[in-house]
Amino acid sequence: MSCSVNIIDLSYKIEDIALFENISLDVSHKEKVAIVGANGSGKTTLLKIIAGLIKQSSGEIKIFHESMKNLNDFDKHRGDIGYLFQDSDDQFIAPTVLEDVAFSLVNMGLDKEEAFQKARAQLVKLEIENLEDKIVYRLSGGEKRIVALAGILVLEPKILLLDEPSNALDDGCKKRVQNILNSIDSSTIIVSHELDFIKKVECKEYELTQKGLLLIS
Amino acid sequence: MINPPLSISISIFYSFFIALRSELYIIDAILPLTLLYIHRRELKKIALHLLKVELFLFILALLVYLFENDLDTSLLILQRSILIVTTTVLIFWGRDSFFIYKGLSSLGFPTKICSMSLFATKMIELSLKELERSKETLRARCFKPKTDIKSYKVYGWLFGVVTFKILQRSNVLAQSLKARGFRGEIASKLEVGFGYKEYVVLSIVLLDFIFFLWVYSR
Ligand SMILES: Nc1ncnc2c1ncn2[C@@H]1O[C@H](COP(=O)(O)OP(=O)(O)OP(=O)(O)O)[C@@H](O)[C@H]1O
Ligand SMILES: [Mg+2]
Repeated sequence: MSCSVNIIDLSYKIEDIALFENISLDVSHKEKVAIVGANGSGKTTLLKIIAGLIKQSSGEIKIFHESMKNLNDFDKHRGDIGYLFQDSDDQFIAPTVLEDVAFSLVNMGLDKEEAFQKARAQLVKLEIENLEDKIVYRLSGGEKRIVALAGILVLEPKILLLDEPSNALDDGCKKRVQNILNSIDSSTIIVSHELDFIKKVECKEYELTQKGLLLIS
Repeated sequence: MINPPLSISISIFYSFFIALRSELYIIDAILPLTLLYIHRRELKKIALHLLKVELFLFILALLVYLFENDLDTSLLILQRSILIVTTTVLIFWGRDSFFIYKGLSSLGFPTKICSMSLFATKMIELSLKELERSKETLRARCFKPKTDIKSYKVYGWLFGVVTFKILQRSNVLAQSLKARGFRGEIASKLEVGFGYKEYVVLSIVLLDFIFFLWVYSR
C-alpha cells in the first residue's frame, strides 16, 4: 500500500498539558479519512501539524514516505498539500475572488492568463462564476467558504486537508462539494462536525480524543 | 485613477521635492488641486478626512510659532506639510494594500521587498478592520460610551483584545502565505495602463520641477 501521509505517535502539548497523545494514522493514496471530535479536542491543531504550519511536541510525520524533520521540509511539497482554514478570512490574500483563487497557481509558476483560466473553470464547476470580481472580504459567510474551497481545489493537490469544509454552505453547495470530493483522487483528511456531510463522502471515520484516534467506521 | 507604479513614484518624488525647499510657489499646489478634481465625486468624505489629519499639522505649526516666535518658519512648515499630506492622501485614496504591492513590483523592486511591503500594509489594513469590528461588537452588545471609570475599563479591555487579535492575525497571515505556497507572486487583474490622467499628472509634476529649476538658476 502506498501512503501519502503517515502519522506516527504524534503528541501535542500546550504548556505541558497534552492536547492529544500518541496519534497514529496512515492515509494511503486516494484514500479519504474523516475526523470528528468535540470542540477544542485539537482537530484544527492536528490538521495544521500535518500541513506543516505548526510543529508537534513529539512524534513523526511522513509525506510521501519522507520524514519531515522540520517545518521547512514541507516546503518542497507545498504544491501537493492543499489546506483549507477553518476561518475563511484567515485564508484570503488577494483582493478579488478570481485573483485569490488563482493565487497559489501563480506561485507554483503558472503564467497569469493560464492561472486565471483555470481559476475561472473552477468557479464554473462550483457554480459561483458570478462572484468572479467581488472583493473577498465582502462576501457572505457561505460565499467565503465556497471561494476558499475553490482556491484549494483548483490546485488538484495530492493531499487535501479540509477544516470544516461544509460550514455555512447551503444544500446545493454541499452537494457540489461532495461530488467533487468523491470524484477526485487526492488523499483527503476532512475535519467536520457535520455527520450528514461526511456520510455522503466515501471515507473512513475517526474520532479524535485525548487518548488518540478511535476508528468509528 | 492613476496607475500603481506612477502613484508611488510621484508621491515619493513630490514629497522630497517639497520637503527640501525653502520657498514655495502657487504652482506647487497644482498637483494636489488636480488630484482633488480627479476625486471630485468624493470631495466631502476626503475633505473631512484631510481636516482631521491636518488639524494636527496646524497645531504643530502653532506650537512652533509659540515657542520659536518665528512666523515665517511655522508658515513654511505648515504649507509644506499640508501640500505633502494632501497629495499623498489623494494619490492613495481608496487604495488597498495590494495597490502598493503592485506598484512596487511593477517598478521592478526585488520580490522580497514587495512581499514585505504587502505583509506590512496588509497588517495595517487588518488592524483597522479589527478596530472597526470591535466598534460593531460594542454596539451589538449594548455598550453606551460614557466618560466614567467603567467605560474606560471597557476601552482598556478592548485595547487588549485588539492588540491580541492583531498579533494572532499576523501569525495566521504568515501561516496562510505559507500554506498557499507564496513565492512573491500575485496575479492581478489590475492593469498598469498609461491613460490621459497619468499624462496630466506626470506633466504637472515635470512642469513644477522645470519651473523650480528656472527660478533657482536665475
Ligand atoms: N496558540 C494556542 N495557545 C494556547 N492554546 C491553544 C492555541 N491553539 C489552540 N489552543 C487550544 O487548543 C485546543 C484545541 O484547539 P483546536 O483549534 O485544535 O480545536 P478544534 O478541535 O479544532 O475545535 P473546534 O471543533 O471548535 O474547531 C483548544 O482548547 C484551544 O484553546
Ligand atoms: Mg477547529
